[in-house]
Amino acid sequence: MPDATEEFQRRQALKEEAKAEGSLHDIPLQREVAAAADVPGAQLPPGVDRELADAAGAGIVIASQRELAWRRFKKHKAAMVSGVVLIIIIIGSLAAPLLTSYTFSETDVTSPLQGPSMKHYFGTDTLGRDAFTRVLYGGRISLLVGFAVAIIATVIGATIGAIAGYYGGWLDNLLMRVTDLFLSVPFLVVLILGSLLLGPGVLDTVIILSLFFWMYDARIVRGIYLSMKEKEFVEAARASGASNRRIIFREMLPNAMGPIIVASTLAVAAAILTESVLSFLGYGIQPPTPTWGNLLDDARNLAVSAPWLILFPGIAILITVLCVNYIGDGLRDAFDPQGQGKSL
Amino acid sequence: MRIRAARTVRIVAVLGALTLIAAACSSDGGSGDDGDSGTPTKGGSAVFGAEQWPQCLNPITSCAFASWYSYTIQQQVMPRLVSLDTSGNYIPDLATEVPSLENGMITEDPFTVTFNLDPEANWEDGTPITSEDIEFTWLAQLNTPGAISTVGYQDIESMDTSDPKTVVMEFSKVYVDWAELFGGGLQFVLKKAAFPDADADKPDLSQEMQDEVPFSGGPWILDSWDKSEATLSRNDAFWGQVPYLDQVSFVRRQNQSTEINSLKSGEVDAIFPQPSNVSLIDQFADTPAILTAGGGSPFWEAIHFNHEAPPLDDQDVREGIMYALNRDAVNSTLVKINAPESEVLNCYGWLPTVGEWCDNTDFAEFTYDPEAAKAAFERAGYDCSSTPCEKDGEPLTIEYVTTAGNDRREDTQALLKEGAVAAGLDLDIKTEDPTFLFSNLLPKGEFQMTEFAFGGSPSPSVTSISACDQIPTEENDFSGQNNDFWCNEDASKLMAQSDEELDPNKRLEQIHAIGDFTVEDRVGLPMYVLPQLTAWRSDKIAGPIDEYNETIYSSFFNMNEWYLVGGGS
Amino acid sequence: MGRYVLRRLIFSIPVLLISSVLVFTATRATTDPSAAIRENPRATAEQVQRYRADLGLDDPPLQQYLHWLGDFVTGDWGTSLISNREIRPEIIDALLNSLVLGGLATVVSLTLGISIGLYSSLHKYSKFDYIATTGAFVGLSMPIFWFALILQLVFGVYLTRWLGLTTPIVYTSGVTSPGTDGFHLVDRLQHLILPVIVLSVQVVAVYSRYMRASMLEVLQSDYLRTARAKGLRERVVVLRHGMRNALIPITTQVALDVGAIAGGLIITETIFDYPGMGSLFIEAQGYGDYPVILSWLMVTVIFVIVFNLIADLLYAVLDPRIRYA
Repeated sequence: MPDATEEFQRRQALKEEAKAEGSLHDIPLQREVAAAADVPGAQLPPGVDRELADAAGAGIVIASQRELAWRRFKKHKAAMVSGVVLIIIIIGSLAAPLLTSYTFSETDVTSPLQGPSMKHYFGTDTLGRDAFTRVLYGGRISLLVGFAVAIIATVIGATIGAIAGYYGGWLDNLLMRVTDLFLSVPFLVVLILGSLLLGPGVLDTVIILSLFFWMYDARIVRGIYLSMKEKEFVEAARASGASNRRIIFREMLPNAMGPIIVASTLAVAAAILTESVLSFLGYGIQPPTPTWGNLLDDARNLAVSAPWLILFPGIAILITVLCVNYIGDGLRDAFDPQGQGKSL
Repeated sequence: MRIRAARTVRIVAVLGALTLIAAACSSDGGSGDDGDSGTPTKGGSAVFGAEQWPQCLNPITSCAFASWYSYTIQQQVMPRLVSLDTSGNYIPDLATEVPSLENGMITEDPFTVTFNLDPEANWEDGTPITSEDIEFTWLAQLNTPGAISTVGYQDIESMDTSDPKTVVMEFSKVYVDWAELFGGGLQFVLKKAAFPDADADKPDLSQEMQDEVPFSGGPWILDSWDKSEATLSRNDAFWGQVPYLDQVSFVRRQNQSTEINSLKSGEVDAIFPQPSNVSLIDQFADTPAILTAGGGSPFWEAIHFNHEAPPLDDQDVREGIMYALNRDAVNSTLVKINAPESEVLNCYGWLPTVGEWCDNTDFAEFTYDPEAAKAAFERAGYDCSSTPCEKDGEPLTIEYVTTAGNDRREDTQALLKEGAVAAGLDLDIKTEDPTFLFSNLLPKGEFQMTEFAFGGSPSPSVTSISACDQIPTEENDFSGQNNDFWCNEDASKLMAQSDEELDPNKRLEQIHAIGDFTVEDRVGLPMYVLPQLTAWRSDKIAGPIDEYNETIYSSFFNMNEWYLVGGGS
Repeated sequence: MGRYVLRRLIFSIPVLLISSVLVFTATRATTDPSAAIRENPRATAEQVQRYRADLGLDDPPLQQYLHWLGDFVTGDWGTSLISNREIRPEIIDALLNSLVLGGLATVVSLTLGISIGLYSSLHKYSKFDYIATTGAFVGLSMPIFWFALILQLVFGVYLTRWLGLTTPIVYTSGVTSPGTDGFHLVDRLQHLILPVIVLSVQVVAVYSRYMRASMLEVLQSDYLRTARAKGLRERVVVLRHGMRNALIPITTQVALDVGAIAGGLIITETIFDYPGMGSLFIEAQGYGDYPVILSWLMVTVIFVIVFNLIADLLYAVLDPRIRYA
């Protein structure tokens, strides 16, 4: 009978590898909120284009790999359409002052709770503020939070995962136990406590979300590094005397970019959803700063008499997250033509 | 006492000590009247939604500050020596008359109060309610660890219980709020025989009444209670008006949107929501069977200044701000939607609907007036030729913080900020978690301008919120309630005097003089009386449900007179 | 294998300790259990101080934490600071409620997810597959609190009115109809339907994608080809050999999901006023009732850890590639 420890390690390695291979196992699913992030994450394919990477050692193929990926991405119709829609949403919220003649805080108490009309596309709220304008400005914050969190969390997660996967041993063990710690604590609970601790600002919310979004990237990247570190191009680099740092970030990272990009795209979707949940529960970002989540929170008691105040911010969240998820799917196909994801 | 956000998940509706009084005017916010829904018949059951849920049932301990505990259980099962009528006046209940100097049941020196108990009054098992029960309640209040407050009870020196139906309380000093002991707004009488294990001399009830109340001296008996539902059944032995309904249940509806939906869908028959920025009347407009009755409450909302935080230490700056805030817009946009007869509040410490303490004129001069505001700022050395006004290159920016999660306050902030611009005032609006605001920022004076509500007290004493020695300091462990950091020695002296004045006329004079000080010193800006309303399904229940109650009692105070439409089945 | 399990469980002790220290610190820093009495004008400074002393709130934080920890380790979960009631029965009640809701949602999601995924994989690129895929994406992208609001409106309010009923077919909140004694299956289900739909909308999407993906993989595998070559009927091949293998990944995922039920239903329980673990947390958080929050945390984290372990073991047991000697 093999030693339990050895068995454990073998199994762990197998699992990580299986994951890198696109296995579905062991991405903890935080019900509700994070489902959108975790689950597609679970289907993450390797992204390492093995043939290409093996054929030619790192760097050189990157350009052509990207080109190939882009060509494949273009074939994913839903992802292409989503890309266009998402760009429209982003531009719309950035160009809000050009699209509307109102400001988000401008009140008009003579016309509260007006239904949608040519004057107010999405109607008005209790103070007669233009709901369309508020959705546009709310989108700025929601999108900002989504992208900022995804980027920060990816940087943290990829770094931790790369170090753990590359060095292995006790460092890997330590880092993965820390990751487990973060994964074992109920997600929304730590976000609620964290947002109370830090405060209701946009920056505070970005920080607290980022602190609890990196674990998925870390695990995925670790798996890839684990399976990659015995590859010839890594050994060649090591033989030529390259420093560990150089190998991790210069040689190996480009080959892991595919899954990292996919994971961070999906993290954008999850972060937008999570921010909206936090704001809706009354934590997170507070008025007067509008976000889609707190617009919904403000309007929840008006569902019957002013349904438009509920409808539009909710649809904005749904469409945005849907687009991001489709793009993530398209990227997955693009980076992993053999994966099963492509039929999505 | 303050009220926090009426927000579902954030609970804690602290209703401290009692309160109030209230209102002569009850307005019918809904339409139509019921009463012609057949004649009252016995039988049937009804379900009501409770917007907040108490954590426990022991009225001496922490439950004492959960208003919904009082609404749903305490006032339904526990008797009171004296009660409040719908206008907040004391009326006989367990006591056959309300003691006063005139009827000789109060003596001044020594200070004693005598109550004669209703000879008919008895507990659910038929045993009479006696003076020993009152004495037991007093001892339990004093000897139960964790009792929320022993104020008043600790001033009682002795009780004469030689006659089972008469109790004479002798106090060590004058306690003007004597009516708020063993009854009034929030207090009660316990049944001694229900706690046979308690020490007769030093009863400690801290482990009792965890999820049951083992007696009833009110119209209802508590059958069962858990974290989501409370069921009361008729007390057939009740000595007053025995209820028509066999049973009523309260169910938890902490989420106001869910609560509204439950009434509209017919899952519950009545609710008593605290409106936010939403017109609940409009929410029910499409369901004709739902009627509403609403009006004021015992709570008043105000803008509070920190008198120690520059530039608010300058009276002219405070005056300028008071002219720069459009109270009228707030009242008509956010309050009248639920309480159509609401008026801007003009007393800082008293409610106009209670007695003569407030004639609602004190702050009447402070209507929205950007020019007057600028003039005041200029007196304070500001240059108002540009917007916002400036002094030494610093713009006139005041941080205005309130509780997070309260839609009405958030909307108020937005309205006031917009209006203040024309007066050269820039308001930097922020919200903070209520606990953080009340436990950290306010006591430590780390704020400039804030907004929250106080509960009016049955007595007109404002000592606890306005006296100099109530300013939070290190010595009093930051527990003082004077969060304005306003100290006027003359006013404080008057407050102390009026707290011992048993002659109503003299007291009235003193209170009016204190009111004058609040205006003179530009203490803060009273805003409005918080609205409240009852909404019920007239196709299911009938009775005097529209007898709107602005006191601390809630609309369920006369639940014993409600009955099913079409009779019980 | 026994040693492996033991090892994993020992590993979880530091996780429990660290997370409880963090949560204790965050709770004590952001909330004040004596807030309500502080705001009670009838309470004098002395009384506030006595109240705080009774609750041990002025003790050094480390002492408060160790006090709680000592009690917890010896099996005494203590009493709530606010209600003074025992914590353990409260948590057990809430946990049972959450498990009923989460369990039912899991069963529904599994049934639907597996059926949809299976059908999709067998009819790849069919109209059904296309709709199922789109539906899955929409489900995954759904802000469920918003979805819950809409469902309450549509089913609770509009449908009831449209059908001219006085009470709704499916209830908008709560656990049972008030005043009902004992257990009534139909009534209980009427209350569970909406929260179960809300919880399932994302999970069905996930499971159906899993099932479809792993089934497609299995259908192309060698041993299925072998089974076909043996002349077995297609139906037998697919259901007996194919599906069994395709279910492996989903099984472990379900184990993980069940582990998340204890602490993961906050949104749904809040919106539907369902007295489970999520509502319990939100309430205790509002009061700063840290003994409740810490015990709550222990239960939920242990749940996650144990089901993670179960998932790993299931994976090992089911996956032919991994065998314990």
